[in-house]
Amino acid sequence: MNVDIAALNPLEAHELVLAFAAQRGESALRLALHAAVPQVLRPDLLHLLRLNFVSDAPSDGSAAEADVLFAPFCEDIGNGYFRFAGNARRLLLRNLDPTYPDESVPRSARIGRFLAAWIDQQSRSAGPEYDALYAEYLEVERWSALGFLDADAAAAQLADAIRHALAAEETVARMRVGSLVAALSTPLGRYSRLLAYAAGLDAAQAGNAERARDLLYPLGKQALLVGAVRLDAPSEVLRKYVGTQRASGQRQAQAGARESEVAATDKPSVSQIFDADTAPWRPAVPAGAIYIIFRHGASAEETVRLGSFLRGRFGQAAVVWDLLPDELPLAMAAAHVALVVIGPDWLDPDETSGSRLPAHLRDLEVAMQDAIPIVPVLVRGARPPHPDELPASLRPFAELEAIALDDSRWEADCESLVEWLEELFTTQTGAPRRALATSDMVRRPYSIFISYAHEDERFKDELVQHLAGINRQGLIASWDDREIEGGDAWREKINDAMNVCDLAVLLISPAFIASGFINESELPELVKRRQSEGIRVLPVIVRSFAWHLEEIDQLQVRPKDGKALASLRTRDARDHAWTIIVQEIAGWARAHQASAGSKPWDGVDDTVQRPATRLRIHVSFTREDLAEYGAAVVRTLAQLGHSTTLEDVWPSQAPTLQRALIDIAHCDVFALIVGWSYRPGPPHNNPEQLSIDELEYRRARELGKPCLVFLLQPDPAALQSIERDTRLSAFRTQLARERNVWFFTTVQELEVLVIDAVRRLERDVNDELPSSQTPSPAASPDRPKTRSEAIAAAYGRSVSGMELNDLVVQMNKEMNAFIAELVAATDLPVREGDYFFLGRLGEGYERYPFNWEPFRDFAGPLLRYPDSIPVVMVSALGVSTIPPSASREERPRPHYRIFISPSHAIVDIVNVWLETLADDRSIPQDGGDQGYSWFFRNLGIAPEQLSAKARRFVNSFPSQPYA
Amino acid sequence: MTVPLPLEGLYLHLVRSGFPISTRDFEDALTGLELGHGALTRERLHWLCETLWVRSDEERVRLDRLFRDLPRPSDETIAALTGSTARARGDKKSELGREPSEIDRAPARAAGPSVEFVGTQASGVALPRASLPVNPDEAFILTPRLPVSLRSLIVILRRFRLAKRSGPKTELDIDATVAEQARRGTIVEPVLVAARRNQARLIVAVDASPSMTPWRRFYRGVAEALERSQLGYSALYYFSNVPRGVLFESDRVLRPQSIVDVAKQHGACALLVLSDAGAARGATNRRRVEQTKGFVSDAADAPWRPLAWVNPMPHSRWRGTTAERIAALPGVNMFELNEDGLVQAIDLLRGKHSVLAT
Repeated sequence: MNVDIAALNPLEAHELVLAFAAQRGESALRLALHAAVPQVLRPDLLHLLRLNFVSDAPSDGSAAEADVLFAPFCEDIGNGYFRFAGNARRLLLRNLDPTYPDESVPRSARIGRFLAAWIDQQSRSAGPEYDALYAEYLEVERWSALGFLDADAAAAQLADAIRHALAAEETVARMRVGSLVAALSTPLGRYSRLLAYAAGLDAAQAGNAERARDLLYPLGKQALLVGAVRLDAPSEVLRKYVGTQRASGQRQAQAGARESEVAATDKPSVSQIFDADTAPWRPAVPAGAIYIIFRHGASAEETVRLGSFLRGRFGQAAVVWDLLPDELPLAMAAAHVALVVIGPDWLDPDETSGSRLPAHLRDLEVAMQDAIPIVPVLVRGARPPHPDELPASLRPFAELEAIALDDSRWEADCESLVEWLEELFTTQTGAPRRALATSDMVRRPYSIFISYAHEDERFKDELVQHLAGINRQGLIASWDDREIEGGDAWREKINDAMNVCDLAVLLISPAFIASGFINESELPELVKRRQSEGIRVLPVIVRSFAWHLEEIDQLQVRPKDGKALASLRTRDARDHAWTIIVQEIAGWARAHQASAGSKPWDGVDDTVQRPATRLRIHVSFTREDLAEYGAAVVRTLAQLGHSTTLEDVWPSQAPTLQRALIDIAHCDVFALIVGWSYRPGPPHNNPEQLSIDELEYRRARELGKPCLVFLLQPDPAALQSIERDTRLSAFRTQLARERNVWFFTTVQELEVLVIDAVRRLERDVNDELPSSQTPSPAASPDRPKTRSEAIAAAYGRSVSGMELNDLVVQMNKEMNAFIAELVAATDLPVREGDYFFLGRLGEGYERYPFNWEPFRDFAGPLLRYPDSIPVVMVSALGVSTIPPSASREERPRPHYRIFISPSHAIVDIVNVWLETLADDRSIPQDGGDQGYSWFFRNLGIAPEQLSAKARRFVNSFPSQPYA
Repeated sequence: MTVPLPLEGLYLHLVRSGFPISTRDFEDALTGLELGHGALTRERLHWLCETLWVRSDEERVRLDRLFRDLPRPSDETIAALTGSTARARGDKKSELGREPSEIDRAPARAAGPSVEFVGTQASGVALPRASLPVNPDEAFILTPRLPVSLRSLIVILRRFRLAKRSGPKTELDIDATVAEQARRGTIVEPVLVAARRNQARLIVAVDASPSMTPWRRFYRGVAEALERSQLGYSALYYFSNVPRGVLFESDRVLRPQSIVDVAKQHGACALLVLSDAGAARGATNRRRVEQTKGFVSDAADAPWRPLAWVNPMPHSRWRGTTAERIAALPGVNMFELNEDGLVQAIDLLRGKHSVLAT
């Protein structure tokens, strides 16, 4: 896995931990929670943590150890030392004590005690590992242990140590308190100023002046008081180690003046080190709600000045900026609004970040993905960034209205910002979190770049002709020849066009591959942009060629069968091929418009997609029987870029119902998976003895949350053992009546359905439509395509499982007629009032005898479409089984089954079904006038898509020959 | 229906979690209860069990832990069981239901000026030393446990016997001696035969790659068990992921020797492989399967066979990983690393194919 573990941001860490929990299960997660306490892990220490704290898993215990050591957020740093990513460790630590709410001593403190005992034993016994490195490791862990045992004592001792180091002048050559900051950052969260002080001192002694200034400057000029220890003022330390050569003397003087103003307005007390404890703040603005992003080393002064001003208005805790970029949590999760401080050097290249975005732009990216309101704040006369200067993912940022803070009108400008913020926080009821994604972004037409070799110009012309139609619809950017022209002319213009395109179409031919220009400059550039910005690259094979190009091999080529366009003899056939390609492009262009300028979908490969709006989804399921399904849903949602409430996978023993109800109130969408168990929830306030699921569902309904409901269909093998609980039946029927429900059998099916359901929801949110309870079956033609490529590939166009479902619903009338025909043709003894069922069964269905009885539950929900006769019908086998519960019928009857399954393309299903009919002797082979061809035409299936056998069968009805 | 004996649940729980006590210990405790020791309160029962059953510090810690984690019965239950008065109960509670003490904050606070700096060789800079409070009353397990205890490992390895007479004639053959005397009719020299010796030959190859890190401490156990197992002949080698032509003499994968040389040195042996076969990281690597296939055929040529493979990851975790494919290779039989798995592996090595795990 190519994850840069050290650089994981909180969201990535969150997702990795969720995935880990889902994949490795509870005991591994519990062990990981404990293993987060020491800053660095050793396998032996991990083993003892398991024995002491998670020992209940006797057999697979050491597997849990392996899981933690090889977890995606754990890094092997050599010599038998392992380390969690900082943000993953913080996330785990935040959840450690709440996971064990009933203990008299907090779990973290107990681990601290254990660590103390272990360190004591290790430092006394000179084991085989004991070397200098190990001794130092134990010293650092000693601090971790103390931090978790007694944070106040740790802070006092640390401060004392710093005081000694400072007092000793040059004699203590260097004291590495900095390395302790990482170990202590979580337990000493309250002492953020002390930690910043320690890290700043470390940086200063190491000669990293910029970082020292970033850390120490905001701490002000007062001495720090920790417990009984008084530390020199941070400004003193700066002067002593770094000097005061700030950019210009004048600004330094100004900054000093401002600082003293700020100091005058604040209470000038050394006790401010406990800032979170002592300072009053207005409850109207939650802690951490205002988050300031700035470039470290560039705009620290202005940030501190602005931040202090806002703290004066909204309270100390409300305003957060990131002092220690790598070591303190990015409080982004709590942020309601992000202010981006932009100085003149905001976009200057940053050597330290390498190929990645600089840290402040990464923060901005996270904020934009979170879809919280963002305000650019211009300082020192900086101008707003131009879209072309920004990476593609940040471009919408340039469209936002900026507030300029001018030195001469600082107070007034800040006041206007405060006004704006006050308005935000008085009106905010969750809605503004979405403001940026919908209204503030500017729609930009989809722009296409065509790369081709000169010899292939005629293919380019054909493509342009085909694109003309969707160009007139305004779906794609208009162009003239100069813009779209590729080939070997006009390099600069080509570069320009290439750098802004959303889609690059490569017309691949021997000439294309032979062209040095294309290979050396265009192609690598496009591939790079594809990886970094997610643009699409679509290779179209126009003439056959014999060798491979590494870049192209990674992409899916068109036409999908890999046949070159030139090999298609007739113009007609070529037009057909182009039409398919252009339809695909039109789909992307629509998706691009729908997502309003955010990163275009990348459906060609399976990388994580970023939705325009990041939804917070509460997933509810009964843990006893649906854990696997629930984990799959959580995982799928994370892959789609949405967040789920963490408690869904957290092995918490806290009263889950209350917590869940709170979560539901704060989520955007409520997803419910219902299986076959119905256990009454807690008796308190629950006179009807409803299950937790049902209580949660009622809550979501009260709050008017959009609901996604997934119902488990029974495994036919297990039918007999299902308890027929009337309350469960009632609940399932109610769900089906009130909501659009999705049925599933296997995890894989559920995943496909979740993708589809969420896509619909995204579309609803993006269209700013109220999310209707029953999406109209007459779905709009321009829905974004799903990425279930397998189905699309087989079907020739993009079709999801639910769309299949819709197709069936839409065609109820035809289906009714069809059933009538089928009944007539097969002479089934069907009477009025008989059920037909639409079922969706999973893999391996053919092994089970089919049982009618349980499907009666589903007939109800499906019958709400007035004209529908839900049909099932299913069959890869063509075997007529006799329903075991047939006793109440007068006589057993054969039935026919068609499998409608998201894992099968409808073409396959129809083929199987026709072949089945062909084999079935009970169908009159000599025909009559019961033609089947209308049915396939309605499904949009072309004659050549039918298998030979199926075609023969259809054509055996002489009155209506097909094709 | 029989009423369970007092303490039976506790005893069984301890036995199942590997606590080394026997029925005899259980009977002792019952006798103790009958004589009136350990009755009425949990603390006294704890004292009784500790007195009779605990043989080391570690065992005491485990027993303490068990008693601490055991949910305390409600007052009503206690009253119903003991019939004691409410007052007496109250007294006992205050005396015995002691909450764990709060963390002692005093020493760190009061410590004041004395800061100890530890100069460490690793980085050449000084690190302040945190002074930790004295360990409070909770005791912890500080000795790592092996997946299979050393004793079990030795016992299991001793199953691998192939007794044959060989070497110098040192043992008296009574039958032959008697027969000889009867034949000659006079006292004759006793007839001697060679002693029976265990001729089982075993090579153990241990994966020392990073994915085996969680089980590293087990290596030393394996080495010691081999020495004490009374095998006719044994050797221990290491490899990293897959032995490709060479085996190493140390677990730091140093001192390589080609398999051909090793084969010359040791001759025909059975082969026991200890490796996670890719299950620990949970990935599938087709090349590794191919390479392992190569190794299996090398080993068969050596000639080392049969081959038993012991995997420290549980069976359920092989699925979908390289281990699943390796386990399916011809000539490879894979077992879990626990007592049952090892017994089956050794049985396979000594030729009892009937107990193969599937």
